[in-house]
Amino acid sequence: MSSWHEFIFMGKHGAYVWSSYLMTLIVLLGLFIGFRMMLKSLKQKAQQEAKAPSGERTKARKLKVSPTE
Amino acid sequence: MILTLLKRELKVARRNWIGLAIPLLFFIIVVSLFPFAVSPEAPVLQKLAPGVIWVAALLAMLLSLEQFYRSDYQDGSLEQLLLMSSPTSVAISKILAHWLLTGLPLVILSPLLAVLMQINYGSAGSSHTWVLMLSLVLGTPTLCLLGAVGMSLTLAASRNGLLVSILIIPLYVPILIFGASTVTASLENMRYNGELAILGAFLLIAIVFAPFASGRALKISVG
Amino acid sequence: MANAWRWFHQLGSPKYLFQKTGQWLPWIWGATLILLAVGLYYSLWASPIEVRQGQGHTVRIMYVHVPAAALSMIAYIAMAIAATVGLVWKMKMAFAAVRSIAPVGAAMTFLALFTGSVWGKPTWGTWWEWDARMTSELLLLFLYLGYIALHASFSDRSKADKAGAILAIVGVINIPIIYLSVKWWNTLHQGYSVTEEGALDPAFQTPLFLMLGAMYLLFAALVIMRLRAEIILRNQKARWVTEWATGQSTERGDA
Repeated sequence: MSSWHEFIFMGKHGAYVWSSYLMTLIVLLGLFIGFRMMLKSLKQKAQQEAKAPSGERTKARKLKVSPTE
Repeated sequence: MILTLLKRELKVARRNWIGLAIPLLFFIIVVSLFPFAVSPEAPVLQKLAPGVIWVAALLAMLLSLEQFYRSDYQDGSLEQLLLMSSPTSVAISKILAHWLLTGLPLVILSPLLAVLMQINYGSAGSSHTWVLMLSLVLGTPTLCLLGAVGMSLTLAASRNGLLVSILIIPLYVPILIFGASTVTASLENMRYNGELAILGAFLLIAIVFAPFASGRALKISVG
Repeated sequence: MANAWRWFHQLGSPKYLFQKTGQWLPWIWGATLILLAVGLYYSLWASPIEVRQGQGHTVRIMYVHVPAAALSMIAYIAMAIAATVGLVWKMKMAFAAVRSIAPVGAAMTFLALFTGSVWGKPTWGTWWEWDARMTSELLLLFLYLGYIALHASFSDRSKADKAGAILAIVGVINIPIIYLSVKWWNTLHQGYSVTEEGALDPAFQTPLFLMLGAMYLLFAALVIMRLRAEIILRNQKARWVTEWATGQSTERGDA
């Protein structure tokens, strides 16, 4: 690479090269943010459940007998 | 054991004969759309024929899959069957019944479609029709076997009609490739033994793996 | 050996796995970012253009395309291995891993297709070619989406896990068959493959290997992130999850 101009335009293929890298960035960043938000919302949910009065919690637990356990 | 199960399947199917006829009707109607959409000229139709007939056969097999499993699962008789005999033999009986009642009729009906699609255009005999039937004889059982795995997996799922198609169609691609190209090779007056042999190999591989996988899947769906 | 076996069993415990991955994750991210920075520097700046085939700067697309394509295959194989572990040893965390690999693998497959298509336009003059590799990659994407759709269609998670595991194993048996069939079909219709690769010039190897390493690590990091969310999702009622969420526990598994 000899100049910034060449770096940006990549010969005459700037659109192709940059769109590839940009799409990769968008998709991977999307996964990163999505997974982070998923964990965060689960954490909040668990916090809310912990705050709820204990009587309600046991009731909810009884209702949700998960077959996976 | 498998024979008893098979007899039961056939007996159940006899009560639901119209459900069995619908996929066959679909097979014919879909193929007859192509002359309207493309062109009624014989050379064009002949070129399209292998692909069109094979795709239609594949879709008809997928459509017919549901009735061999769905009602048995819903009324609980599948659970009883699995209590009485091994899951693999239940799967084998269902696959056999599916082929006998859908695959075999498709093979028998295919000469009619060969006529509609002008498959023997420009050749004196009807050798291409025989090749088409042969490719379907070797290919449709594999479609049944793979379809059984997909159907057994989706039995307990909440949405299933199209789900099974999504799961199974990618796995059907190799069969479609070699099934259609057997007929194409015949149309181009080339040797088609290799393609038939590969279809046969797919069938053998599927016979080894699919009944077991389908049995496991049935067990998961019910258990 | 006995130690390794015990460790393997410990990984089956959601709490242990969550804590361990929480400890690993910062290190993996750190290594990823370093490799990625160096790799991007080489792939976008400090590497020559392709002259022999006249690709020019488009050769730089290879540095994201090849890692994505490689990972799309490896991810599916990893899914099938985890699925087998889950079915044979009845290990629930293996099923969680299968479910966590699927979206990242699907994303890699999509990226391989997208960058391949963008690369194809200037080199072959077309966005899409029914080339053996691209077609197999497309079918692989369908397999990933099929798994995700199947898993999402069950109300009972353990059924979804087992059905999905069987699908992953059936799929992995089929991948070579699909690939060889498509390759045969492609040579029949075109007689050549557009993605035939010659020996790679050493000048292109440095950025490629750097990017391969970076993308592998990035993949691992994303899968672990998804896995951690999946573990919490599956153990919402466990006491250690409540402790983790409210920060009562001394150990912080957060990263």
